[in-house]
Amino acid sequence: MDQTANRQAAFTAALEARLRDIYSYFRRLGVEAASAEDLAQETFVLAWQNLSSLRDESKLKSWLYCIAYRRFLRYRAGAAKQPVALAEDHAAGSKHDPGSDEYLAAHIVRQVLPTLPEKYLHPLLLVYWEDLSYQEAARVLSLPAGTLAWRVHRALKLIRQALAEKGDGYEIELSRPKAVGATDSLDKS
Amino acid sequence: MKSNYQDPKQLEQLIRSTKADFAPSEGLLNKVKAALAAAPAPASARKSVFRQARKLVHAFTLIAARQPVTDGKGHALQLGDRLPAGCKVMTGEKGRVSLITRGGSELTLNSNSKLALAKNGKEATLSRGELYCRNRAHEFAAILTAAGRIELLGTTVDANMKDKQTVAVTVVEGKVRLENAHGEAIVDSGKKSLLMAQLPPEGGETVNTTTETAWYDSRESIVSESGQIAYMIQRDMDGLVAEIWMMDKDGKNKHRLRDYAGYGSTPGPWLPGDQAVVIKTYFPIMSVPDLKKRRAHTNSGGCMFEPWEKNWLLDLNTGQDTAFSVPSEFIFANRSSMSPDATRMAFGGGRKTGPERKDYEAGLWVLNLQTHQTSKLLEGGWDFPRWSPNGKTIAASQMWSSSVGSKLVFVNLENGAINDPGIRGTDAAFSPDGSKIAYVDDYQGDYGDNWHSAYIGRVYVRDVAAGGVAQLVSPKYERCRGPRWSPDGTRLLYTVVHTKDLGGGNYDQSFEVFIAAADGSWMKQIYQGKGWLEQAAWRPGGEAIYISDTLAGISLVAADGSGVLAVLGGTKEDSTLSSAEQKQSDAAQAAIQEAVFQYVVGRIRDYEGKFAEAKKAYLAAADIFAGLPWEYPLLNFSPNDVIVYADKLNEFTRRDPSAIADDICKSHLDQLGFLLPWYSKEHDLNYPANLAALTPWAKTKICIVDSMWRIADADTMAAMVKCPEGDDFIYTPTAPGKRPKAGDVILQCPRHPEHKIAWEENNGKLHLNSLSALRSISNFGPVDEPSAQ
Repeated sequence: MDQTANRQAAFTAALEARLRDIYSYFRRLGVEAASAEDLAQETFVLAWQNLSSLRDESKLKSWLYCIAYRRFLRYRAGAAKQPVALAEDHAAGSKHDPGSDEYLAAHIVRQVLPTLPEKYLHPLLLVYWEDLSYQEAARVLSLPAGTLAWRVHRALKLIRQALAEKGDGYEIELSRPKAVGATDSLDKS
Repeated sequence: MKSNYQDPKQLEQLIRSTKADFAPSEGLLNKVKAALAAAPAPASARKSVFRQARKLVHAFTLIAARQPVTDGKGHALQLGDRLPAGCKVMTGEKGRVSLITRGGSELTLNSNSKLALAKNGKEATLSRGELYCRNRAHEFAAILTAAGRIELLGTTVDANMKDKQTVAVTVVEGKVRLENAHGEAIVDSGKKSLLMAQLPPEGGETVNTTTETAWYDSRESIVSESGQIAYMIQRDMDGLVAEIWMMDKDGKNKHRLRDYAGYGSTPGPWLPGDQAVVIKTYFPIMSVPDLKKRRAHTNSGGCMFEPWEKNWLLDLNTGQDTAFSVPSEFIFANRSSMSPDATRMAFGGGRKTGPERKDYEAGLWVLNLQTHQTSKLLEGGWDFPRWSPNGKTIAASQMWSSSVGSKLVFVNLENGAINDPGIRGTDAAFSPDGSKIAYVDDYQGDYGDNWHSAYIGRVYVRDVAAGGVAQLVSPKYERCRGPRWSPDGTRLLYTVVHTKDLGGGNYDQSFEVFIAAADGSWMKQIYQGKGWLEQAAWRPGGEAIYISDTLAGISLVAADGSGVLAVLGGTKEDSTLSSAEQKQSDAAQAAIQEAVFQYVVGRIRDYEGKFAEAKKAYLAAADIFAGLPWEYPLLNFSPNDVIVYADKLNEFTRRDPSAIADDICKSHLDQLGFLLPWYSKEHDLNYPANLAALTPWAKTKICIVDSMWRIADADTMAAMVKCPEGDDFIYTPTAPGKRPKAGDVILQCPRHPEHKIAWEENNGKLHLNSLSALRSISNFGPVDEPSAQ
């Protein structure tokens, strides 16, 4: 098989395997269902049209995420630069027993995530939610792998800090998590 | 909570558990497949990328835009966009756009304009509106309009479509050929004259040309007739990027016009019609903090960039700047000032002359901006040329020297007569009716603090025609500067600057502003400020004064002493850059720093006789300068400005090695001629036995206190004692304790026998001659008796 055919085969396989991931990726970033479907479709069409610029099929996954990530940025820029409002997910909470420590901690994490500066948030989500390796996530964000690792580390530190601050005597508020904005206190620490 | 999630694994699991999962609707996969089937195949996509790349050979980059700006298909164009040749650019009601090519040509479209760029990148079709085109290296051949063809003969031109039939063509520089069905004409122009040519409407007979005479008010003011204020912000006090800003008279609507590499001075004066303002920029040499760390310190005289000072006419409508430059044979020009009718420029300066440009002459010059002819009015080093309001007389002050101070003379331009009333004075100003002159006498006290002393003193007013006794108008103060007449000619404004040396290169600056009656009957302090005073200028009505300083920005102060009327701002604090701009600003500063560093390295390598290395350094610097306008589009660097640097540096690399060697040889001898008398003065009038013995002593000498500028280090000294071609200088020291005779040769180059340093007698004093003549006219005054600091 020549190179072009190789790539096309890899792409067809990826389409079946990754469509749900890419769609969910948009949803998890707070894009509503209809737009997320459009974005996912655009992502694959763009990938298909520019398939010739993909030199190594093994990088197809990070390449798709890279396109998706940029589509997301552009989509958001079109919507007057909304801050990231991560999807609320009540189902995820049910992985833990209500009232358990884990339940409380998971709730705090979901509240803290959207308040993280975006330069820390995206690396963290790509690695922990999208299951990308550090190298893959670095390619998606066009960062050196070292920088990416450092940012993930930094994000974890911020979350750990929030857990320590809010964990004791914390009462669950069922209000919507705050959007990105008032991140000063976290950022400076 | 029991766990504090210190274990990374545990925390990782927790975060993963917050991940939500979503399922797309059932039909999505098929929908995407259908979309893929409809999309073009990947193979063709690759080809289109190539086609795009080929188009970009004639690419234009968008360097400045005020929306709305769209391409032919209605898509908005953004800063930094690359536009392929063959595209269209349209501006809306308030839009304006500047495009620049890789070759440095610039196209600027005013509002309500439409331009189509030809596929070959050589022509542009203007279908409506106004186009400014700065053509470099014949990059563009012609501008096409419905009224005819404007052929560019290496020129800068402004084309303004009045209607379908008529286009007004202003030739800013060079010439153009106008051509249509009815005939053709060549329109020539001086550098800055406003020449208008109209293509004839249908049935017209000939192309007629008219010249508009510019009117110019020589009063220095930061404020225009309609009340706009132009000001300069130096974001970094080291002066790597000078930004020219503008505000309304009430301090509102602050916006940045242009950026320049280097320092700038307060903009002004304005040209009539509030269209353009004169600004000056300076090469950023002193601003590289790590020169010393990077072993690039050198003798201060060797680092002067030419042209050090540049004058620009910044057109506020188009954002274009035009240099009104001094001819290239001038190796320096100081404190230039424009005539009241904006046709001539006076400056103190020095140029190379003679068949091989090996000689040097300094003087007071007048440059005709239309014919480009320079004429010399006075011999020697002159400073502060000032025009009388009728443009017929120039007052100028001699460069300060310990023997004569700063002599103030008047030159009549009509008959060339020189009127020397025998007064010491600098920084003079004619009264609005031209009958009186105000000046500061050169300060008689302590000269030690800095060379600014040369234009600080008491303020006097004197009748120009009748002469007579000068009236002292600053009775209590001896350190005033910058007298400026009120518009009605009855009062004077002057400033007193206090500098406290805090050590370590830090200074505490404060200043006072005074107003005094021109007849000396009263004086009053109207303002006290902190920071560096940039300028104090009368408001056109004469009831208030604009004061601009580095801390408070621009303040409007009542002339009657009743205090501050308004603080208009205009400091770097109230003009914040966006983070993207800040990023570019930082990067640009670093780049300029690197370019200046390379330039200095080049000068030092030249000095050491390593011409190939010098060439490499100059080219590196030129590349950086030439890249500034493209690489930092948000900063809106003036392409004209940076291209002056790039051109000059390229010129350096093309010089003939023997000519450089000749120059450097002279400069070595001059430097030694400067050091030897100084050395003898510190060693009981004994001269070193040989030149190598000079090195350990010279290494300890620093030119300016607290600065990185050394007289010499070991390496430069080793290079200095011989001709760059390799021969040691012939050194004949004066015998110990003996007084040399005039004509005794102390240094000579065996390779260039005409290069010799000998004792000369002048006013009964012996001193060594200078080959470049630069020494006697430098800002530091003549070094007949060098004093160590």
